[in-house]
Amino acid sequence: MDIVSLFMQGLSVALQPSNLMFAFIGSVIGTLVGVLPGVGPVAGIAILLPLTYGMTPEGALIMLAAIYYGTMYGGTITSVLMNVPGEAASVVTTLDGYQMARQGRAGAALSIAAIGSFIGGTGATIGIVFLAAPLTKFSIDFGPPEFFATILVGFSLLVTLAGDSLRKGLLSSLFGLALTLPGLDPISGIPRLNFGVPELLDGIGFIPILMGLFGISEVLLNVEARQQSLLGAKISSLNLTRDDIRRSAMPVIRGSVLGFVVGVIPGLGAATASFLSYSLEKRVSWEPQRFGHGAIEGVAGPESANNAGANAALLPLLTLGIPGSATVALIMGAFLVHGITPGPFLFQEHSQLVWTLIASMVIGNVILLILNLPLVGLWARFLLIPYPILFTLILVFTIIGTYSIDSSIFDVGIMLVFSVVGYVLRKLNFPLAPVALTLVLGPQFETSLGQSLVLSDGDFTIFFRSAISTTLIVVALLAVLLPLAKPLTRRLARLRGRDSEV
Amino acid sequence: MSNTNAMRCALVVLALFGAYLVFAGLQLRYYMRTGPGPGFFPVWIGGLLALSSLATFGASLRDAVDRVPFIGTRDAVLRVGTVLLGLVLVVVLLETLGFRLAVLLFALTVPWVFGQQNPLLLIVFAVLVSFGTAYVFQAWLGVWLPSSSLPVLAALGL
Repeated sequence: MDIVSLFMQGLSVALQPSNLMFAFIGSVIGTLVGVLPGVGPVAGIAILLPLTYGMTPEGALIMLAAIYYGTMYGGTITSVLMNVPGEAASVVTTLDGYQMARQGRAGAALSIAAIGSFIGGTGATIGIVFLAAPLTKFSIDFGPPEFFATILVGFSLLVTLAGDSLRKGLLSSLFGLALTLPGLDPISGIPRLNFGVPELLDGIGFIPILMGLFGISEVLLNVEARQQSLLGAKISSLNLTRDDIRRSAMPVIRGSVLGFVVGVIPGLGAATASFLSYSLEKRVSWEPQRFGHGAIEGVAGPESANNAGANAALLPLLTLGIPGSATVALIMGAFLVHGITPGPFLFQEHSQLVWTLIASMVIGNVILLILNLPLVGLWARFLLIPYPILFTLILVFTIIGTYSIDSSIFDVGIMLVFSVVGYVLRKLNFPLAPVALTLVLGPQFETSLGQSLVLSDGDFTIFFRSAISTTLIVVALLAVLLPLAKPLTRRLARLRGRDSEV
Repeated sequence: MSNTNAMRCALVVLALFGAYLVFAGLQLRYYMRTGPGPGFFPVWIGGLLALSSLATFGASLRDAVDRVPFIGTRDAVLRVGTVLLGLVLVVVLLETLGFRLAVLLFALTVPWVFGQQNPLLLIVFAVLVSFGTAYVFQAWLGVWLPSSSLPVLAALGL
C-alpha cells in the first residue's frame, strides 16, 4: 500500500471523536505547560504519563505527542509578553518578540508565531510522511564527529548573535561555556568544579540560569526605570499587516526546512533549530540592524524552526527507536508501557498506530492554530496589567517553575544569583543570546568532542573522515571568517586608496 | 559608580573567574590517552575567558570614560534592591513558612511598596497568587510545592 493511502487510513482513525478529543486535550495542556515558565514539556509529559496507562495506545500517544509540540506554541507567549522563555527553544523569540511587544505589536508577534509554528509543524509532519526512509539513513550516518561539526556551526553563529561588540559577544559566549563546566566530566564521569556541593554534581541547571538571566533581570531593569506598564506604546492592531506577511513568508519557509533537517538528527533539538534559524535570517536580511529591535523575521523563522524541529524529532524515535531528547524519551516510555517497541520494525508491525499518530500531528497543529490565534488578543491585553502586579506574578511563576524542576530551593537560589548577573550584564550591554546558545550547546559540544576522540583513539583527523563533518566544519569556518573579513577588506581598500593618492 | 568603572569591575571578576577555572582544571587530568581529560575544557575556557577579559580591560583604558552612573538615582537603587530583597526573603522562607504563606506575604508587600495601595485588590490578588496558584499546581497539575517545616503551620495544611 502506498504512503498516501496509509496516511489517509491513519487520518480516518485520527479523526474519530475519541482520538480528536485526546488531540484537543493534549494541545490545550501542552499550550498551558508551555506558558508556565520552567514547567517544560518534560514535566508536563512526566506528570500526565501515568494517566495514560488505562487509555488505548493510540489515544495515549496522540495526547502525549500533542502536549509535546503544544508546549512549543505556549512557550512563545511568555517569551513575547514577559521576556521569560517558556523553555530553551523559546529563548531566541525573546530577542525580537519581546521588543515587538514593547512597541505595541504583541498581537502581530504572537500571530506570526502561531502561524509560523503551524506551518513548521505541519510541514515537518508531511516531511515525516514522505521522507521517513531516506532520512532514517541520513540520521544513521550521524555520529559524534558529525554532532561536533554541527555544534561548531552553531557556535560560528555567535558572530551574528554578538550584536554591536564582538569582544563582548566573545566574553558572553565564554561565560556561557564556563557555566556548563561544573558537574561530571561527560567522558570520564569525574566530578569537577562542584565545590563539594552535591546539587552541583548534576551541573548548574540551565533553566534556572535562563530564567534569571532573561526573565528576572528584565523585571529588575523595568523596576529601575520605574516602568508603569510593559507597553511602550498602545497595542496596535492585532492583525498582521501586508508588510509583516511579506517580511515573514521566506523566514517561515526557511525556518520550517531548517528546523525539520535539524530536528531529524537525534540530540540537536528544537532549541538548536531556533538558534540556527535566527542567525540565518539575520545573515540573509537586507537590514540585519533591525534584529534585536523588533524584527518580525526574528520571530517568524525561529518559531517555525522550533516547531518543525519538535515534530521532526519524533522521526528518529519512530524509525530507529532513538529518543533525541528527554521529552521524546518519555514518549518512548509511553510506547513501551503499551507494549510497543519503536524502531525499524514499528512501521511494519504497528502500521495503523504509527500512521494514526502521524496523521494526528497534522490535526494537532490545526487545533493549536485555532486555539492560539483567537487568544492572541487576550494574551496581548495581559500587558495592560499595572506593572507592579504583573511583575509580582512573573516572579511568582518563575519561582514555581524553577522550584518544580527538582523540588530544589537550590535551583531558585541559582536563579536569583543569575538574575543579578543578567541585570549587570545587560546594564553593561553584554549580549545575552550568546550565553544562552553556549549554555544549551556547550555540554553536547564537549561530549561529542570527547566521544569522537575516544572512537579515533585521540586522532583529530576523525573530524575530516566523513563528507558531512568536513563540510560542516568548512561552513563553520566560513561563517566566522566572512563577517570578520568584511571590515578588514574595507580597511585595506581605504589604505590602498590613500596610498594611490600619495 | 560610573558605567566605565562598573565595566572594569565586571571584567576583573570575569578574569578572576577564568583564572580560577584554569587553576581548577590543572588540578584534574588535562589529557588522557584517548582524548581530553576532565581538566581540558576548564583550562581552555578559563584561559580564554581570562585573556579576553584582560584584553577588554586593557582596551577600556584607552576608550573614553563613560561617567554616566551605573544605577542612575538613589531611588532606582532602592527599587531594584527592594525587589531583590523580597526575592531573597521568599527563597529563605519558602521551605520554612511554606509556599502559600511566603508568597502571600511577598504578593501583599511588593505591589504595595510599588504603589498599588488598594487594600481589597491587594488582598484578593495575594490570595489568588499564593493559595490559588498552589491549588492549581498541586491539585490539577500534580506539581508539588513546599509546605511549611514549622509543625504549627504544617498542621494547618500550610
